[in-house]
Amino acid sequence: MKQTRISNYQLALMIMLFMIGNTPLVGGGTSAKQDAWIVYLIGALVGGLFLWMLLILQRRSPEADLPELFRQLFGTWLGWVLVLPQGIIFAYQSSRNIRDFSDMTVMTILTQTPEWSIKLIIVALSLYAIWGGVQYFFRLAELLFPIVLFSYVFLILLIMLTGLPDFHRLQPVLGNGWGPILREVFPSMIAFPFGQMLTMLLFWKYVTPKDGLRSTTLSAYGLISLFIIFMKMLSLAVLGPGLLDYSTIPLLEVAQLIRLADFLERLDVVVTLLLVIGLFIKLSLLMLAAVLTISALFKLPYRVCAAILAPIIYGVCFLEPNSSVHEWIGEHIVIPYVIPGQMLLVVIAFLVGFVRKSGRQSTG
Amino acid sequence: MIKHWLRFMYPFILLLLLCGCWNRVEMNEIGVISATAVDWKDGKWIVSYQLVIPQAISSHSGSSSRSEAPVNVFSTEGASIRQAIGEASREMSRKLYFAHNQIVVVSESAARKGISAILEIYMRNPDAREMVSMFITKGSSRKLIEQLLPIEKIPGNAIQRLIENEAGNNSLYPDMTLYRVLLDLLGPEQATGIPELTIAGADEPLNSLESLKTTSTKSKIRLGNLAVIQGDQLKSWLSQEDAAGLMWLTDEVGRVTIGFDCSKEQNGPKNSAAIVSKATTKHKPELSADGRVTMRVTVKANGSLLEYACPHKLTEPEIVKQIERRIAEEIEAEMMKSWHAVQRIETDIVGFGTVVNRAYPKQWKAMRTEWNQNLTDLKLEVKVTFNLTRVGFSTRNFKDAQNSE
Amino acid sequence: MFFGKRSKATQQPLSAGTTDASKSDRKTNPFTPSLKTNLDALNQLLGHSSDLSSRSLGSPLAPDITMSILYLGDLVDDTKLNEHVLRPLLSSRLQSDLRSNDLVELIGERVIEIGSTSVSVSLNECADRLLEGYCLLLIQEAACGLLIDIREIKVRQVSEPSAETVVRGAQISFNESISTNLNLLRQILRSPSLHVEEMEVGSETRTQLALIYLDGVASSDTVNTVRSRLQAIQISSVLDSGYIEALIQDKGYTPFPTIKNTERPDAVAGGLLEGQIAIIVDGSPFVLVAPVTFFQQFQSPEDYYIRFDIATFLRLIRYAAFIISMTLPSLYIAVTTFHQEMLPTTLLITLAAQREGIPFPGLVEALMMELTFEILREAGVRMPRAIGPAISIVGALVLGQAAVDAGIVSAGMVIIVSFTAICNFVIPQLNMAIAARLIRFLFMLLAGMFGLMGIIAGVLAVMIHVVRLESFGVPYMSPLAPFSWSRMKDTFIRAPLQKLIKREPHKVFQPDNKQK
Repeated sequence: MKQTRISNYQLALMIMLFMIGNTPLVGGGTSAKQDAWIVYLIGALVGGLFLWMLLILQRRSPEADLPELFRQLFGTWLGWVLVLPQGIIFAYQSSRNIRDFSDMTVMTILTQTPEWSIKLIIVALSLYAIWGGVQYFFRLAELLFPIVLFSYVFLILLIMLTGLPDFHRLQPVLGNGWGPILREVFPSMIAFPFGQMLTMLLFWKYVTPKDGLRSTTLSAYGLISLFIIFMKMLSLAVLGPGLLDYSTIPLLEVAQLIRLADFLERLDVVVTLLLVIGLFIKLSLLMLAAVLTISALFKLPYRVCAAILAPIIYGVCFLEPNSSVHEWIGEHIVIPYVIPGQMLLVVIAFLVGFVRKSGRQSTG
Repeated sequence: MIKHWLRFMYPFILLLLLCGCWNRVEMNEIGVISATAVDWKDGKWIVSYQLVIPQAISSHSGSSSRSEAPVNVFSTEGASIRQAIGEASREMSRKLYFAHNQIVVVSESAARKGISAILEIYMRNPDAREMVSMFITKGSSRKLIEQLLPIEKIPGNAIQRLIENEAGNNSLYPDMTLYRVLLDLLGPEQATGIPELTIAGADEPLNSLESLKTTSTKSKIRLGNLAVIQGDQLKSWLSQEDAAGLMWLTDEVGRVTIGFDCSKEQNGPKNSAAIVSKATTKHKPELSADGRVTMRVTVKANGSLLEYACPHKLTEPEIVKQIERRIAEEIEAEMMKSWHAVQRIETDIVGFGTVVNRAYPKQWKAMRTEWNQNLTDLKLEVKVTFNLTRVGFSTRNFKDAQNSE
Repeated sequence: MFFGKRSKATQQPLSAGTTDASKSDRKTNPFTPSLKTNLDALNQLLGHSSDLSSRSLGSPLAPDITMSILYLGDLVDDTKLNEHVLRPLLSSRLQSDLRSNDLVELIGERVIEIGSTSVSVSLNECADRLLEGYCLLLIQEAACGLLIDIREIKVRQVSEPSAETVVRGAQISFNESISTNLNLLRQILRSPSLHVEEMEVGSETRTQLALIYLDGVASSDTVNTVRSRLQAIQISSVLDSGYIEALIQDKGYTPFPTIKNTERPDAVAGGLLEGQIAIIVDGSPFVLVAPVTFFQQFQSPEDYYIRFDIATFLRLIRYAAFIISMTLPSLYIAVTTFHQEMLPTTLLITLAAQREGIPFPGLVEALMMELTFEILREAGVRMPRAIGPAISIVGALVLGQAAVDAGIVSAGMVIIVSFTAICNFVIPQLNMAIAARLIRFLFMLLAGMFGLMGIIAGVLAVMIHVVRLESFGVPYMSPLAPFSWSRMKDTFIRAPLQKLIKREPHKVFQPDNKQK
């Protein structure tokens, strides 16, 4: 059977697409007003530290993925117990993204279409995407990345050309001091979007050759963080802190304002579609992560596990009665507790590994 | 084999199962609205719509030479604006479609009541765009959108082009799109200025094709004064003369024609003109120890001479310098005049509050509440430098050339 | 791993094994020393066919021995038979007292004036050869026969290519004969490393095919894969190279062709030089080239004959046309029935005015027009040549113009449909063009249901599908996915030739699992 392999280039593209994902959708840092971008900057830096830790974990046992790693560090039984919630969290996040996806489409372009049909399409599409396995899914990233890149470049160019951005709107820098910024950074900003790099722990083992892995991951992470920060600054420069706080999807609001040459206008549909691609990649990767984790835990064949999980994920996204509840859970439970909890597990794993290693060294 | 086939087809089969076209609206099922007007009367919102009639506009069938009016105007009323719009379905065969709405005209009464309701519906609903141009009018707003414009087919579009053209080529008022109104009202000053749209001429509306059949029309649409909004309500009006310097104060000037007096005595008629082609305004606030703010405004403008009525030779640098100085003084005077008007109405529509906030964020918090009342304490220092880059094709005045023969 | 691609080494047999079994039986059927028995046996094998001529003759070579010549009258070249076989035999000045098998060999070596002769001891082989147009010389007492190649093959003249025309470049195309085609190819590639492996497929048709590759350029893994897949074919008849294509391709259930076919010798030669493998099938002017990627199907041989900047421009046009021909009608449906806000106001008004009074919804209108067009196109291909222009007039004028005038379809829709159709003609590979046509209908349905969102879902589904396709181990979407910077020079753009020469040819078509 053919070995599953991912090239460094594929890894880099996937990290970028994954990180862009739904980031423009989730406000984040708005209570820091015009300093929201600083929140992202600090979030990215702290997230970078976390990523560095993940990379050390990966280097210690290069051929292990998340379940294997926990098994090695905590033993078969405890490892199994600790990995199970991670698999569930991946699946749950995937389901949340589906919810985001349908909420966004229903809000913007398909106002009268029933949500179940939109969700069904996206789940079916994601299942189809991951059906072939890790290798083909990462190849898909190579196909989608140019599209996303060109669309963003085109969009940014248009925004610049309209003359709407006024970077004075970012002033006064630190007008409200560090307080609100730090409150936003810990723990929300680290958890989302930057803490989600945790997912990569499942895919690093497929990367060949391994020697470029660390630099590829870090540079992709750095680039995309800069891009996210830049996009935040751009929306701030166009909308100002007041309007930014007021609008649900700032990027969409910005795109609505583009009006050039009498026919390049109303590009919000294009932005919606761009967000659709980002969300699709994100939720598929999370679904893939969930399937890999769960199938390793229960010793299920990959496809069987995927076929079982996809309907469950589809079902879970109907549990929340409306989009406000969905957002509230996201803001008050998932981002401050669930994702940091997941990160904490990994940090503990890191520390355990560290202690063990030094223990082994001292005895040996 | 069947399994293989299914694997490839299953997303599509799923899709086909979901037969339905929930959001589909054919183009002949929508009524395209090109302009809306909002009125407030007897505790009710009255919304008027300018509905475009495509067949009357498109020359598709070839022979139609405007036998039908291009638009149809009708009104509905309700306790909230959306409710009023909902009422429209009782009298319209088509679904009203606001995505192509270009302007919204608000009557004075509605503006005094508060425009927040209008801003609210534009922000919440995806079909309405923030790039509509906003206008205030005295009297009934419906009249404005009933008015036909010569040459133009869709009046709503035409009015938006009118304000865009005005803002770009002879900057008196900016194109106040809903987005800018929102930005201003969410900013620290919570104040903005919106241009007035009026019908000038005889009280004979231009609302039938018949009235367009003459070479001169009895009435026409034009821009009037500037409505000053504070909070979300109309506070007062500024005349065109008072408003003229506002664009300079807010760094909005694109191209504008400036009249000036070129004679040495400086009190003659403003019989010469120059066009400003590029202008930038910079603000520099300064907070003195006693808490008073001095605003230093520097304007740098480039332009060329359009008309010249004095006998001096333009080849001499001295003369050019003098013209430049004279134009700069003219701009300065306009700015000061507008500034005094702003102080008089006690509404910071020039955005000095934002500037101060950016420079002194800490002190601003204290000043914020009393800002508009304390505008009279603010000291304005204006410095204008004008650079005459070109004098045109002729080096002297025509009359002067005749006399020197 | 748990999700590697399933191996697909064996193909399903298409015909049952009965013919197969008898075939292996016949191979062991030997000659007997009796001429009479041999003749009877051959007659038996050939089903007492009435066009089997047999003539007994006596040669001065060995006057006391009876000889017999057999041939299928319709398949042999009479001149060759008379001049170079019969005449030397009948007027031989040679005298010999050799007998039986030795005499057969002597005749083959010294008497017959034909290049290709062989001695066969198998009756079945002789019967097979007779069916190809050989003539067979049998001698009393000899337990073997002499096969003499005097085939007459009816061949069409080589002509200009009809399916892939170019402005600049060779104006020659393959024809139905495998030997002519090999000849044309050898004329271009006079290299000793051009390897040709001939084999026979089809138990009834016994079609010749040739597996061709440049040794040292083509990856040996790929050659082995192709060879083993060809050998695994079990089918009774092969009438065109399309059969072979269908039987050896990686994945059947896809609209996208993973094997390219071409009628141009220069295109095949170019492919061979890049490490591809060609398969010529006797009886088909279309030569198969594999492995092939998605992007290669947008290349025309002409790209390399004209200036690089122009070639790049034309190539980009082709990609654009492909995308347009797949998505334009669906985009039109989506924008006009879901996202009217995307249209500029004046355009919306114009289109809306056209739609006034059109009785069908946009989707139905589009499907109707597209179907009409597909029918017109099919009619254009199938009908006798002479009435071709009539159809185009009827199609364009009567259907298009009249439908608009009658208010059945809108003028905008007619423009969209015609432009889509024209775009489809730009794609050099017919198979790829057909794929675009099929997918277009899918996209239209999706657009009718979900607007742009549906199109995006469709595009994503197609992308997921193509990314999983492989052609003989080469990922279908390479060099985009997996990405290869060096091969980008000849994918979307066509770099100047001197930049392309540096490329190491054998690196181009390495199957994915060899890149370790």
